[in-house]
Amino acid sequence: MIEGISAPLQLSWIVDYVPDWLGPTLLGSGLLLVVFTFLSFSYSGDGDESTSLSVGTFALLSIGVGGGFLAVPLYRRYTFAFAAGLLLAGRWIEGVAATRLLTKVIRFFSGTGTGSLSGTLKRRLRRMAIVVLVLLLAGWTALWVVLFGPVVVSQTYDLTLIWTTLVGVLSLLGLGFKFTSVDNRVYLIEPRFVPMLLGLILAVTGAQLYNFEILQQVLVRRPVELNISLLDPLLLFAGQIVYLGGYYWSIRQRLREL
Amino acid sequence: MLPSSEWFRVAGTAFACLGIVLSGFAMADDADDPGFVGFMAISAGLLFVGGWIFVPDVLTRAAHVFAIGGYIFYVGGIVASVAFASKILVIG
Repeated sequence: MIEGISAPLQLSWIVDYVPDWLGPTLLGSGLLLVVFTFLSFSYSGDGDESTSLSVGTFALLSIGVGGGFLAVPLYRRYTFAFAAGLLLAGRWIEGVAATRLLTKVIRFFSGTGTGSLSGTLKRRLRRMAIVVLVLLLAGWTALWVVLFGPVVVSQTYDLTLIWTTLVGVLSLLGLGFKFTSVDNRVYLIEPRFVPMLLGLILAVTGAQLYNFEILQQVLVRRPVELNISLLDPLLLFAGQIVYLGGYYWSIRQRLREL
Repeated sequence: MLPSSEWFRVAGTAFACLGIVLSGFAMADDADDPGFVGFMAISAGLLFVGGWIFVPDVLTRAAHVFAIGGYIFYVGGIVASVAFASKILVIG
């Protein structure tokens, strides 16, 4: 009883997603999908169906499969490095995608646009509505757990599970929206872009849900105990720089095309 | 249950070695020199048979050297897919 009162309140659940295998599994599955897509590119060369299976193709496939196998022990041991790399990759993609609306506005006012600006804004509003719906559903579910008790394990676990689901769904939606707003003709040119992008989206979502434990710090200020990995703030800072880098690169590319 | 990390290292190294040998064959084929193809076949055979007989743990040792392939795969896999995705976002 006395121990229970004197024990500090654990706040590590705020940043620790549950179940803890979800992040690494999504990350690994996404990377596998990306790898298989790359292997399929080398298998059929430039997408020409008539390409014969040459010795060179088998050599490339063999080196690719070998590289994939060698990456497995690396992934097992340094999952945090994969998660950190993919988190930064996600920030870069966000930075690149952030310039899309800006380009539409410039094209609209300069009269060089092919699509309508109102159509773009309507699409953005529809997507915003979906995000608000997800937030509301998560909020109501959390309220249900608080008022009527736990459904899965305990109140703390259930609330963390809702938080995990919310972050995962928003990450999937956010990245998915970015790639679905791309002109369909791009995917018609090369349909194998689709599984590759799906893999990338899954991997980045997995990285979002990964619990970093490296450089773990436990800050105890009674009655609160905060477990935090020093990599979290470092990645937050690095992510902002990478985001700006993606934004700058994208602006340069788009200005060249305008 | 997934096999052990050591299994993946050895299998990955075996595939990478095979790929290197096969690319040698492909180069010989491009050079259009049958003698070179034969030379590659005998060399590859001697390398593997000799390795297995005289240095049984050669593949395990080589696995540590080839582990760098995993790092290349990590950097290439992420960077290449992000480069593709960025291009698609810009041109689409």
